[in-house]
Amino acid sequence: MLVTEKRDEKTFVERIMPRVFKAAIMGVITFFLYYMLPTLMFSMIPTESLPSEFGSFFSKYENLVYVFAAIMICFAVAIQLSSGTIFQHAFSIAKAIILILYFIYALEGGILTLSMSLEGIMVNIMANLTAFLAILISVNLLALAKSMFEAINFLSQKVEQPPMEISKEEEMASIPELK
Amino acid sequence: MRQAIRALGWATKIFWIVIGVFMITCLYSAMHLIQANMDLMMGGRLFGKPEVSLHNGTTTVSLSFPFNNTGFYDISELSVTTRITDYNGTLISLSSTPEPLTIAAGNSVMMRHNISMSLDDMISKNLTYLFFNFSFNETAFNVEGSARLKFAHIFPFQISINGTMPWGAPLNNFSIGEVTSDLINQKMIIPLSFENESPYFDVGGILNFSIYNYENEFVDSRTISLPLVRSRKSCVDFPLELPVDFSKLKERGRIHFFFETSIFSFEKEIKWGDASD
Repeated sequence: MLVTEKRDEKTFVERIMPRVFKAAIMGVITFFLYYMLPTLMFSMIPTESLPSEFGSFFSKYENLVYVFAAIMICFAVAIQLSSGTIFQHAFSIAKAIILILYFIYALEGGILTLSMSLEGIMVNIMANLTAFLAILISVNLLALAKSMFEAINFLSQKVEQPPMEISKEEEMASIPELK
Repeated sequence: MRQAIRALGWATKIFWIVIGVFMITCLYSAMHLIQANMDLMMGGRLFGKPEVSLHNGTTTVSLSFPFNNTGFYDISELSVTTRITDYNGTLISLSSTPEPLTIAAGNSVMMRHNISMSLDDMISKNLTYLFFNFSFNETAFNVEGSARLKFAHIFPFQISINGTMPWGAPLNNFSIGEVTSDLINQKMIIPLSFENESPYFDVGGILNFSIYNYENEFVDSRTISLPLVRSRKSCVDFPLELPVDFSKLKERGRIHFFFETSIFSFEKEIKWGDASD
């Protein structure tokens, strides 16, 4: 009994270590893609030559890009850590829903407005990004559909498997102890 | 099921890549566009020298400005609208670009926008005070300008400005003093005075005046060229001399003035003598 528990513990550690390693790598890649690159891009924007209101507008979006990076990194790590379980798909579904809400918030429902004063004259800028928001939501809905299909596929495969069936990995792991 | 998942996965990845590339290039283009045209605006080179013309009683101010599309995407449906109202909110001018413009990526165009003010319109809206009875005021007119465009054929943008415009009547306090008669030289002397309070233009041109007696009988008329009166606070006070037939001229009547400059023309009637009845 004690031997079996030890064996289970070892397999759990063995099983979790590659996932942690993969999650760390994914986290680093996502951090580079969604944090380092946008930071680099924002630093290239010559905001000092633009009116101060433009600067505050960009700093607001800079913060929103960091929030986006945080969402992406968290979910990339969570999905990797829970790979091979139903949580992986649950996290993917949650990520798609959160991204849809994030885009609606960040793009202010598709209508962006900016007001500033240039040499005493009020300047209002309005951008209608509803088409772009619709595209972003559509792509996220596509990702949501994919995650749902994956979840359904995962559950159906679980149902098809006999409850006491030992996987090949576990079978192989148990061979030296049996000896 | 697996194939559907794989297809959805690929579609999502491809869409994300396309959106990412499009977003980055759009931001880059927009930044370049703002910077290039902001440099023109800050350097005071956005608007060229406005051209003022008068045609059929309509004064037209033509503004020309270069628009440089330094981005990767076309700018389409570009139109400019200006709306000028007086401090009471009465519409003076509403002008729009006749045809929306399309500027291909990397191209530069010289845009022209005409602001028209019809004299008939101004008379019908009781706006003649703007010519004859309006002291210089920094916030006389409200000016609203808006530019609409579509960036990359997908993003509609609207840039609007709100400001005020100073104004002063070019013929402020246009009046005549006491009309005197020179019986020896058979002349009528009309002391005319006005101030040019306009901050924009000098006043000079042709003045035609016709005299009618109180029986509405035409007495005489004359056309003189008015000396150039510089803008802001120049006061003009000079006598108009008109040889008249004193048998026709009564002790009261009216004088009809017709004033024509390169920028505007106007008619005004002033009573003289005891012309209250």
